[in-house]
Amino acid sequence: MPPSGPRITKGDGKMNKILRNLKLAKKLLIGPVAVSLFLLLLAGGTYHGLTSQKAAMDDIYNNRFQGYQNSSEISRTITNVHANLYKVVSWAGANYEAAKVEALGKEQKASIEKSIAFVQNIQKSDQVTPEEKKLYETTLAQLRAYQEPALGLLDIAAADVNGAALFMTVTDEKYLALGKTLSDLMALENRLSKENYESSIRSSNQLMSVFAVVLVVVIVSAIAINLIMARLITRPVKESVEVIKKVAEGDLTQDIRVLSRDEIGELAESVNTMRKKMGEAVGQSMAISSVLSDSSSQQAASIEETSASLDEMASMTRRNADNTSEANNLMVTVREAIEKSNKAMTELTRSMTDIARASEETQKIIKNIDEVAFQTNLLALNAAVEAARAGEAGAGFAVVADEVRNLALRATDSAKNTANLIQDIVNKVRGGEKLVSVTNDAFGSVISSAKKVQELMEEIAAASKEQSDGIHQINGAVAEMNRVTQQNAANAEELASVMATFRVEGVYKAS
Amino acid sequence: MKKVWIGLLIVALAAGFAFAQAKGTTKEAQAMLAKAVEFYKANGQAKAFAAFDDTKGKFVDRDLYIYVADMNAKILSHGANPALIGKNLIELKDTDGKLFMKELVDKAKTSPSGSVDYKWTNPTSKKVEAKTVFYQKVGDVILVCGAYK
Repeated sequence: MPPSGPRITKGDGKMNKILRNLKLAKKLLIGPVAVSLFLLLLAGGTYHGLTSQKAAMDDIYNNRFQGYQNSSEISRTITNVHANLYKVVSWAGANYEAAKVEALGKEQKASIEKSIAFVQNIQKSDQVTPEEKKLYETTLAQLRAYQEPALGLLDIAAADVNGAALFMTVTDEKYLALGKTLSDLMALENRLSKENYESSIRSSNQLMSVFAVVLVVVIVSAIAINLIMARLITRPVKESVEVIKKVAEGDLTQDIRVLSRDEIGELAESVNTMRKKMGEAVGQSMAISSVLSDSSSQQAASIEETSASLDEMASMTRRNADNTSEANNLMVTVREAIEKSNKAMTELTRSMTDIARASEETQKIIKNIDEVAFQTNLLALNAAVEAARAGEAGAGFAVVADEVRNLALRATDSAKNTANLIQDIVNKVRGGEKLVSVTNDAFGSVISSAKKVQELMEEIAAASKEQSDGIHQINGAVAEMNRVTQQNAANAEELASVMATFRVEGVYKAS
Repeated sequence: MKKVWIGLLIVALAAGFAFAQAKGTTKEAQAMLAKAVEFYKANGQAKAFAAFDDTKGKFVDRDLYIYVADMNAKILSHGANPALIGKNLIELKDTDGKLFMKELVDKAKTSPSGSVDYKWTNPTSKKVEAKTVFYQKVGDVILVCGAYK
């Protein structure tokens, strides 16, 4: 099953897939980038928080505190004016110099005018809130309301202190109303700044909580992201390591699951390819080594056999040489024997001639014996005839005469037989003579043959010796070959046993 | 300084004594009011006010004097204290806490003539005294004249 591109485990989320297929550098960057984004978020939040804090502080100081100060200023001025109004009344009542009273009164009028102008000025400001504006409007109206009786008071104080005192009661009322508005205004500023302060504190606290939460989220998600990334990176590496370990142990059947398209995925693919190719190579090597081991063993056995045969051959050759020289020796003996035989033959020829002569003389003797037997037979026949005439008295003699005739007959037969025998002997001796001469000739050629044989034997002996030397050399070479082959066989066996530690897919045959 | 005080005291006492008998009556006040109304109608507002305001004129007699207010109790003319001219007295209370000018204006709205009692400084004695004033509404102004009790 050749991996047709990286195999990706199905059923995972798309996100997970995208993450897995990111390059390592990008994977490594995800954590820091996420943390940076969170930090940016935090910085944004902090900036926003600080900006709103600054705005709150600005508002508290520039608007609320200023408003409070303004109210306080008006209040202080009018309180001062009011006190001075009493002073005017009391001075008028005490008949102070009119000019002095008037001067004091003028000051108060100016102060009131100033306060009015001050309020009008404040009203023009665009920082004034609607609530403040309303109160300032009231303040202005009340200032004017205060101004009226105050002016009345001041104008008539010199002429009619009693009337002025009556005006004073009106100013008192107006003063109280104005004072209340001003304290309302101050309370408003106080409330607004307190609200602002509290909302600022609240938002600050909120920001702190958000900050804390975001911080925790940042830390947790940074850790989580890094863990996920580490897992994404290390898991395929671990798997690859497992498989590579197995490869190291000789198991070439395991494929790395390619989980990602990053460098590790490529590495895994390369390892898979390497493992596959190595598996094929090892498989073939295993097959070859097995065959090699077998054939080496066979070769070793054959060489051992060859060596044994050569040894045998060598000994045979040696024996051959020995035999040849022995045969040579024997040949010499044979020649000598033949020569002796030759001499014996010559003597035999002479003896045969003697035998033939003796036989001829014996024939002559036998002719005599035959003639004697013939004479005896004739005498026996005569004796038988004489015995028959002698009748009874001759009966005994007749038997003897018969016996003698039988003997004479037997002697004739024997003489005949002997003559035949001797004739035969003579014939045979003559034949023997021929044979002996033939034999003599034969012996002559035997001798020359024996000579040739002897020469050949010598040649054979020399060749055998050479052969033996050659075989000796061959034997040495074969022994060397044997040693090498044994070594080869041992090596092949070792290789086979080493190869046997590998495990590969499929079955391989040595091609 | 002491001499001044003593001098002043003497003058005051003498004056009080002298004017004690010379206090205007309610009838005199009513008469003066009638006269003033007549003068006002005859001579017009400007001339009338000038005449009323003239402390040495015929509309100031001892502690009797004429003052004119509009319907909002703003003083338009005053024979005893010109400083009050232009002042709005509607909120003014007498020493008993009475909103006497308001009462005057309110009364004038319903009846063109009548009287109101209150306390006010006597221009001759310089003291706060109870007085009865008579008024006559002429157009949109009220002419007033009162006598101290």
